[in-house]
Amino acid sequence: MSERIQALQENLDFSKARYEHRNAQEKFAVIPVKEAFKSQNNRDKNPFNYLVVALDAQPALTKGNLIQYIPDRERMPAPQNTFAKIYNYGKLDCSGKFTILSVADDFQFELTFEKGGLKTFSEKRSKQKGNSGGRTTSCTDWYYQTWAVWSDGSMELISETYAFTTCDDDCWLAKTINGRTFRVECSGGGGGGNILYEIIEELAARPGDFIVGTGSIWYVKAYVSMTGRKVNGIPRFTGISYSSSTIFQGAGVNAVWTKTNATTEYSYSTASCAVQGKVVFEQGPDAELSRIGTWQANNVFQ
Amino acid sequence: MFIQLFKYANVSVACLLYLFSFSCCNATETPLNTGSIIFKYRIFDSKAQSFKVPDYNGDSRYLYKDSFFIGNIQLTTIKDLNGKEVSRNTTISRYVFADLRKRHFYNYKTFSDTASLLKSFMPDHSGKVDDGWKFFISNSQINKNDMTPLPDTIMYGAVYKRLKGYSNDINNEGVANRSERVAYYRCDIKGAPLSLDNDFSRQNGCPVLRLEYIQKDIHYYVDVEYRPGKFTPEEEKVFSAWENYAKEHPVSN
Repeated sequence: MSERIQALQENLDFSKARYEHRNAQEKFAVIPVKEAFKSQNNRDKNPFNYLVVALDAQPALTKGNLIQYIPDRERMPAPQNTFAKIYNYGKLDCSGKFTILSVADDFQFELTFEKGGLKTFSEKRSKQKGNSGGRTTSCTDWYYQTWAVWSDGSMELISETYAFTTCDDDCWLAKTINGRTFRVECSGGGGGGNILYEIIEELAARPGDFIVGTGSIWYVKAYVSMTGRKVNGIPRFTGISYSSSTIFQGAGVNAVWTKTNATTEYSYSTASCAVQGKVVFEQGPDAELSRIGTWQANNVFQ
Repeated sequence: MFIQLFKYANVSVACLLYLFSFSCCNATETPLNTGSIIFKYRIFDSKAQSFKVPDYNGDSRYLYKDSFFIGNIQLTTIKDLNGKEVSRNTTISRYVFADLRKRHFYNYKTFSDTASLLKSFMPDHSGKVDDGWKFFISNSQINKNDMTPLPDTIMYGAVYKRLKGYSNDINNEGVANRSERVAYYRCDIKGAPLSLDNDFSRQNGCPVLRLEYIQKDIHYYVDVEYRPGKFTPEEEKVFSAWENYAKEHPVSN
């Protein structure tokens, strides 16, 4: 166990712990952290620190975060049901900044609320950097981005500040920049594990198409529709459906396309459509075609 | 220019042989007995000034012996990622053994004398055969009365007679395009299992073995090349096994 987690554990104030019910199946255990615990984040802002863990019906711990609350005005702790309301996109009974940290005290993202409503969302985002200076390692620049959140749930980037650079050999090192402690997983992930809060931006359905097969003088094209959403700014697929397929052909071919099967599947990051069928020609036997078109969420919902 | 002339060189050769071939074709008919058939598409590549094999329409090789025929169906499987092809694989998904005289068909999974039979079947009442084999149906492409004879030409060591005509084809956008169509046929063979125009072959006794289409920038042809000759030992083994099975297991209605 790291020193940070041990320090957090030793400073949990169970005497003031409370439950907040997110829904019938899930509740949050909100455990205030004593002032003796000094987070590396927002050190100069005297935040209220809470360990918020989600418990399912078992109850079993499913995920958890250290959450800092810095009130706008009067220094009062977060009111009852604040975290349940945040998770349910409700209006809060307070205003201020919530910094979501991993239990190891690494920055995840930040939310600001004004008059109880979500105003901004901030996170770190990476930009791949080419090899330079004769180095054989690849490096990534990290930026601190702040997004305005509008009432319809859409987000708009309003500021972007360079934070730090990681390279292959130092990605695991924590970096403290402007009062925030960042850690990057060497796999390229954000570090810190389970995220308690999700900002969801529903995205318009996007069309896709792919060539099922072609004979230069003919081709069969299939069409799909993909749906998705951005979760904390990261695009995810929420569905894909096959729409149709058509044959296009040159003079005299007079071929007929018959689709025999079309299946789709998706995960958060990829969506695919498999189409099988045959082309019936005026001369010669049929040609069977099978093609799998796959798309990546980052590519479709840029 | 030179390449262009080369492309149409067969026309010039045909002119020289025109009188000779005109009489020779009807003189003798060679019965086809054993051999292979190469079924191919070719499209004219204007950059290279030559015909090339189109994507996904590779050549198919079939076998024939008397009125028995072995063909295959190709399956092309492709994988895309974000609209770009990342892999392509063409395999034979099944074989067909046909007794064309009895009109009995047998599908096999693999080309082997011990291959498992997938199904046996007959054509429907219109002559249509599963997988699109066009042995019996009407697939009329040319009407002799609407076409003009061209000089004969020599291909694959044989004399081909030719007819040229025009047709209007409507594309996907509903636009009619006038295209030139040239039919190549042989009158020196009989019993050819495959023809590109069964109606014409039946009426004239001459199988149509190439159809060429020319429209604006598209120029391609479909070709059936008969290559009489012996089977390989493996082919002979499979042909015998499937022929025996067909004799012992006639397809019932």
